[in-house]
Amino acid sequence: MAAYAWIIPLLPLVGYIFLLLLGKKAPEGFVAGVSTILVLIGLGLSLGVFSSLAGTDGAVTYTWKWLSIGSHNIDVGFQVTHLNALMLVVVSLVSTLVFLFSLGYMHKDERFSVFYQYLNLFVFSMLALVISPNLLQMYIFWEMVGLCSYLLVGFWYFKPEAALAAKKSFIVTRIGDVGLFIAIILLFASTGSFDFNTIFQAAASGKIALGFISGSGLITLTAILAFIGAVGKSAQFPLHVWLPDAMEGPTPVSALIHAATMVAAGVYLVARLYPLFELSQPALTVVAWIGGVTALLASLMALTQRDIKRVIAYSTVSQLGYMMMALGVGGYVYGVFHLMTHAFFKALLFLAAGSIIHAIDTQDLFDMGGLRKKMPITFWTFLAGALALSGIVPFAGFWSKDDILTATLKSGHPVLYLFGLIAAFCTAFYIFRVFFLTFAGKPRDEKRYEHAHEGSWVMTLPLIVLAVLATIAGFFNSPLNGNALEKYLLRDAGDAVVAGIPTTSPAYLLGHTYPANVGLMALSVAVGLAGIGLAAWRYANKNREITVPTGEGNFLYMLSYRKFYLDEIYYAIVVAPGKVLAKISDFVDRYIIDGIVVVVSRLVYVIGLGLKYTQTGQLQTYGAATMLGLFVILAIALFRQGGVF
Amino acid sequence: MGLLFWLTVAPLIAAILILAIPKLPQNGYRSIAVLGGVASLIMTLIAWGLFNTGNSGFQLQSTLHWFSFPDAGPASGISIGLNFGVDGLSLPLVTLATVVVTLAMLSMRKTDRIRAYSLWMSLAAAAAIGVFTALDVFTFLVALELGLAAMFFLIYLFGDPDTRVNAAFKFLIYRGVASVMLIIGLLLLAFGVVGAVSGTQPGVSLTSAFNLQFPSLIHWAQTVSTTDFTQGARDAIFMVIFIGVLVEEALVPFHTWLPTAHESSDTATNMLLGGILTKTGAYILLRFGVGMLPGEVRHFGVLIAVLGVINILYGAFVAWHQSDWRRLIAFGSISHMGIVLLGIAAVNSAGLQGAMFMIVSSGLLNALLFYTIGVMGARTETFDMSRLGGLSKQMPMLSGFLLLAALGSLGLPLTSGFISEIQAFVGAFESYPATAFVGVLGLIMSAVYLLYAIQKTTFGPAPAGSSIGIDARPAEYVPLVVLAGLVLLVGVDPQVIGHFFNLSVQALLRIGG
Amino acid sequence: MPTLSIPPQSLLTLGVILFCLGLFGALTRRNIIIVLVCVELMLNAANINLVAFSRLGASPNLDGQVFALFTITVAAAEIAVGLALLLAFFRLRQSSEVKDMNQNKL
Repeated sequence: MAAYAWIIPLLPLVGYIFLLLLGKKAPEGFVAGVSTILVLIGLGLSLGVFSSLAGTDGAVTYTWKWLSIGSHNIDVGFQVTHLNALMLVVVSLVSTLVFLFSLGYMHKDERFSVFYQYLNLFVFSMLALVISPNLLQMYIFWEMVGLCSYLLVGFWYFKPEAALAAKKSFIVTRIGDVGLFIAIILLFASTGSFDFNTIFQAAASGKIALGFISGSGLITLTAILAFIGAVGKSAQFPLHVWLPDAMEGPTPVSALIHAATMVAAGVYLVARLYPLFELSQPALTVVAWIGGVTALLASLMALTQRDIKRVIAYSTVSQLGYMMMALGVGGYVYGVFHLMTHAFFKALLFLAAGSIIHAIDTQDLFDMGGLRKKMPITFWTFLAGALALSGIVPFAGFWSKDDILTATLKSGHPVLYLFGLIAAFCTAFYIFRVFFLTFAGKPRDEKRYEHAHEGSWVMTLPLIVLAVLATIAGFFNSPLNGNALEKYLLRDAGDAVVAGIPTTSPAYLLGHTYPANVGLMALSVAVGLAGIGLAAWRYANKNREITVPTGEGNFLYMLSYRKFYLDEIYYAIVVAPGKVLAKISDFVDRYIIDGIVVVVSRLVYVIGLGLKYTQTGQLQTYGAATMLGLFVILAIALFRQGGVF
Repeated sequence: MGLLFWLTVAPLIAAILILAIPKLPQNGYRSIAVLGGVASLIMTLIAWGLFNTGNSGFQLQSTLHWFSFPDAGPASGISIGLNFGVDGLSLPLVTLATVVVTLAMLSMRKTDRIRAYSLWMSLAAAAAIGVFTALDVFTFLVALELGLAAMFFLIYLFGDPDTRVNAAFKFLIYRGVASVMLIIGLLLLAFGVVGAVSGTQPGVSLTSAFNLQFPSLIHWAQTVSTTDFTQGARDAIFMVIFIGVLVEEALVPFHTWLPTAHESSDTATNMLLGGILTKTGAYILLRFGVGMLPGEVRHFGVLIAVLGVINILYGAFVAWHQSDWRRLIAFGSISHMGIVLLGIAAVNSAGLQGAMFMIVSSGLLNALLFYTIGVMGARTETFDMSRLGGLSKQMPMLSGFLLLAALGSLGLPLTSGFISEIQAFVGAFESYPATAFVGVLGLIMSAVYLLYAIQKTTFGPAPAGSSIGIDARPAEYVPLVVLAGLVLLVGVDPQVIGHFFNLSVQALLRIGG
Repeated sequence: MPTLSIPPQSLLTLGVILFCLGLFGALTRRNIIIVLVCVELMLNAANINLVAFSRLGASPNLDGQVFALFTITVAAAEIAVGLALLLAFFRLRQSSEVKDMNQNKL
C-alpha cells in the first residue's frame, strides 16, 4: 500500500492543473466538488497507507536520479515512515474538510476558482513535503508551501493590509529558511548526500565533519540552523510576528495553512530530523527553551486581542511552542501527538470563527455576543474545540498537552514546566473569553445579530466532524488504549535496526516516554478550569458590564495588546536600518561610484575642450607642424646614430 | 562550413537581406529578422540531437579559413578565419542565446525605423550567438566587437529619447574598455603559452603550437610548467582578463553602465542585453579563467569570492531602493552575477555547475522580467512602481507572469533560480564557508526587494487616475509562455541542461587537477 | 649611344631641391592651384629618385621606373580630383585660398 503513497500528493496536483486549464469561469460547485473528491480519495489512500504500516518496522523508500553534481547524484522520490503516514492522514483529513467548508465560505467570490487552485497547489506541496525522502526535496516543498501561503494570505490582493501581510509572511519565513538552507548545504558538504538516513547514519557513527568544525560541533550547528528554519515556519519567537498578520487571508486558509498543516511543518521538520537533534544536547536545549518561551509569550499576547482570528492565531503560536518544547525535552511522541490533536481542534476553532465571521461580517469580539441561539451548531462545536484547547478531560487537547507537561517536568525542566502551566492557564482564559464574548450575553450589535444565521451543510458538516475528532482524538494515545500512537510512532526507531545500527545507540531511540501521572493531570485540569472560571466571572457575569477596554494607563494590558511592542522593535532595529542602508547604497551608487565616472568623463571632455584650440583648420599649419615633427624625429634618430644621446 | 557556421550566420544572412531588399512593409523586415532567429533556433535543436554526451571536448566543429601569415615564422601556423565548435558548457548557452534573440525580435516595438531596428537586432543576435559558438580567439573577439557595435546602435537609435545618447556612449566606452582588456589578455595568454612551449619542449614544433583555437590553448595551458610560463606572467594575464570580465559583466564597481543602459533601452534591447550580453563575461571567466588558468582562479579565489559576495549584497540593497523596474532588474542581475562569481571562485563541481546554471537562469529570468515589465509599461506608460499599483485586477495574467519571474529570481524551488543558487552555495560552502555565510544573506535580500516591488506593482488598489490597461494579447503569450516554461523546466528537471554542464565541469576540473 | 654619366649625387641633389621647393610652396602659398602644382613638384622629386636608383642603385632593375610610371598616373588622377574639388570649392565659397578651406573645424 505504501508503494502507492506518491498518488496522494499527485491528486491535488491534478486538481490544480485541471482547474488552471478550466479557467476562471468554471461553476463553483463543480470546482469545489472536483477538488474535494480528489482530496477525499487521497484521504482514503492515506488511511490505507497509515494502517498498512501498523504492523511493520521499515520505512518504504523509492527514489530516482534528479541531478548529478560532479560525482554526486541527487535523487528525488518518496519515503513513507510512520511519522509521515500520520502526517499524510492529518493533512488529507483537514484539507478535505476545509475544501468542503470553503465552498460555503468563499461563495460568490470573483476568484473562487483561483482560490481552489491555490488550495490544491498547497495541499500538493504539503503532502509532497511530508513524504520527501531527502532534505533537498523537503526544502523544495517547504518553500512551495511558503509560496502558497504567500498567495493565499494575499488572496484579497486589493486590500493593502493583505498585501503587506503576504509580503511580511514570506520575508520573515524566508529569514528562517536561510538557516535551513545553510544547514542542508553543510550536511550535504559533510556527508555527500541529502538523504535523511544517510545523514543520520553518518552523524550517529561520527563520520561527519568539515574542515572548519568538529563533528559534534557540526551536528549542533546544523541542528540549530535547521531549527531556525522551523522557527520561521512554525512562527516561534522571535520570528512569530508574521502569523497573526497572516490572518488577513480568508479564514479557511487560516484554518488549513496557518493552524493545522503548514505552520506545523516546522515541528514536523524537527521531528523528522530528530535523530540528528538527539545527538546534540545544546540544540535540544535551544529547541525546548524557544518552545517554552513562545508558548508563554504568545498566550500572554492572546489575552487582550480584540480580533477573533488574532486570538486564535496567537493561540496557534503558543500551541506550536508547546510542541517544540515537547521535542526539546525529549518528548518526541508527545510533540507529534499534540501536532495531531492540535490540527483537529485548531482547524475546528478557525472554521467555527469563519462560520461566525461569515454570519455577522465582523472580526471584532466586542461587536459580537449572544450568538448561541442563532448559531447552535457553531456554538456546540466551538465549545468542544475550546475545551480541547484548554486541556479539559476528556477532550483531545487534554491528553496531548498533559503528556507534554508531564514529560517537561519529569525530564528535569521545572522552569519550562512552570511556563507551560502559566500558558495553560492563559490559554483557558483567552479561549473562553472569546467563547463568552461571542456566544454569551446580549448581542452588542443588533443589526449584525439580526442577519446572523448558521451556514449551509457544507459549512456545518466539517465543524461537526472536527468537533467529534477534537473530542475523541486524544484517545489514540491514552493509557486507556495502551498508548497505541506512541507504539506506532516509535516503530520508526526500528529503521535503525534495519540499517544495522546497534539499538543501544541513543540516536535512534526517538526521545523518551513517561508514564501518565494522575497528580499532574489533575493539576493541569485544575489550572484549565481556573482559567475558564476567571473568564466566566469576567465575561459571562450578568453583574459586569462588558465595555470595550481602552487600556489607558494600564501598562500590562497595553504590553499584551501591542504584542510586547515586538513589531515596533523589529521595525526600529531591522527594517528601518535596512531601508537606510538601501538608501545609502543607492546614494553611493548614484553619486559616488557613478559620480567618479562622471568626473572622469568630464575631465576627458575638458582636456578635449582645451586641445580643440590647437586645431585651426588651416591645412598649411598642420602640414608645417607635421614637417617640424618629422624633422625632430629625424634629428633625434641621426644624433642617436652618431652617438650623441 | 558545418551546422554551427550556419547557426551563427543565419541572423547575419537575415541582416544582409534586410539591407538588400528595399521598400518592404513594416512587418516584412521584422519577419526576416525573426526568420533568421528561428533558423538559428531550429539548428540549435539539431545540434542538441547531434551532440555526443559521452564526449567532453569540443564537438560539431566547423572551420572557415580566411587567411594566414605564411612568412611570419612561428606564427605561420595561425589560421585566421571563422571557427566554430561547442562543448557541454557552450551548448546550453547557445540555446539560451538563440531562444532569447528570437523572442527579443518578436518583441520589437512598432517604429518607423523598423528596417534599421531589424538590421541591428539581427547583427546583435549573430554576435550574441557567435560569442558562445566561437572555437578560437579570433572568432570570439570578432563576435564580441560586433555585439558591442550593434548594441550601441540599438541603444543609441531606439532608446528613451532623453537619456539614450548618454546611455549608449556609457555602454560603448565601458564595454570598449572591457574589449580592449580582453583582447590584450587573450592574445597575451595565447602568446605566453606559445612562448613557454617554444622554450623547452623539444619535440614540439613551434608552428603547430602557435594556434588560437581553444582546444590547443587548453592543451598547452595544462602542459606547460610554471617555470616556463612563470607565475608572475600568469597572474598578470589573469588579472587583465579578470578586470575585463568585471567591466563586461557589469560587476561592482564597474557596473554603472548597466542600470543606465537598461533604463534607457526599450524592451527588445533590454531582453537582449539582460538575457545574453551580460552573460558573456561569466562565460569568459569560465572558458579562459577556469579553463585555461585554473591555478590563477584558485590563487585569487578569496578575492573573487569576496567580490562575489559584495556584488550579491550591494546589488540587492541598491535594488531595494529603486523605483524604476528596469533599474531594479539591472541591480538584481548584478546580484545574480555575484552568485556566479562565488560559484566560480569555489572551483569545485558544485560551484562551477551552479555558476553555469545561474548564467542560464539569470538570462531566462531577466528576459522574462524585461518582457513582462515592457508589456506592462507599454500599457501604463510608466516603469515607476510608485505610480503603479493593483495591476492584478487589470492584468491578472501579466501580473502572474511577473510574479513567477520575481519568484524565480529570488530562488524559489522548482524554478531555475533555486537549482542554480543551491549548487553555487554548496560549492562556495565547501571552499569558502565564511564568505558564503555572508553571501547567503543575499537570499533574504532578494526576497525583500522583489516582494516590495511586486507588492507595490500588482497588489493593493490601483492609484487614482491610472488608465485601464488590457491583459496580454494572444501574440504576447509566446515569449511569456516560452520563457516561463523554460524557467520551470530547468527548475523541475535540471538534468535537461545539467548533463551537458556536468560534462564540462568534469573536463574543467581535470585541467585544474 | 654615348653613355651619359651623371653622378647620382647630382640627381639626388636635384631631387632634394625640387622636393624642398615643392614643400615650401605647399606650406606657404595661399592659392590652391599653386599648392597643387607644388604637390606635383614633390611627386616629381620622388620620381627622379626612383628613376635614378633604378639605373644607378646597388642592384639596378626596372622596378623603380615602373613605380615612377605609377606615380605619374596617380599624380594625373590626383590633379583631376584636385581641380574638381577646387572648382566645387570655388563655387561654394567664391574663393581659391587655402585659408578658407576650414569648414571641418569645430
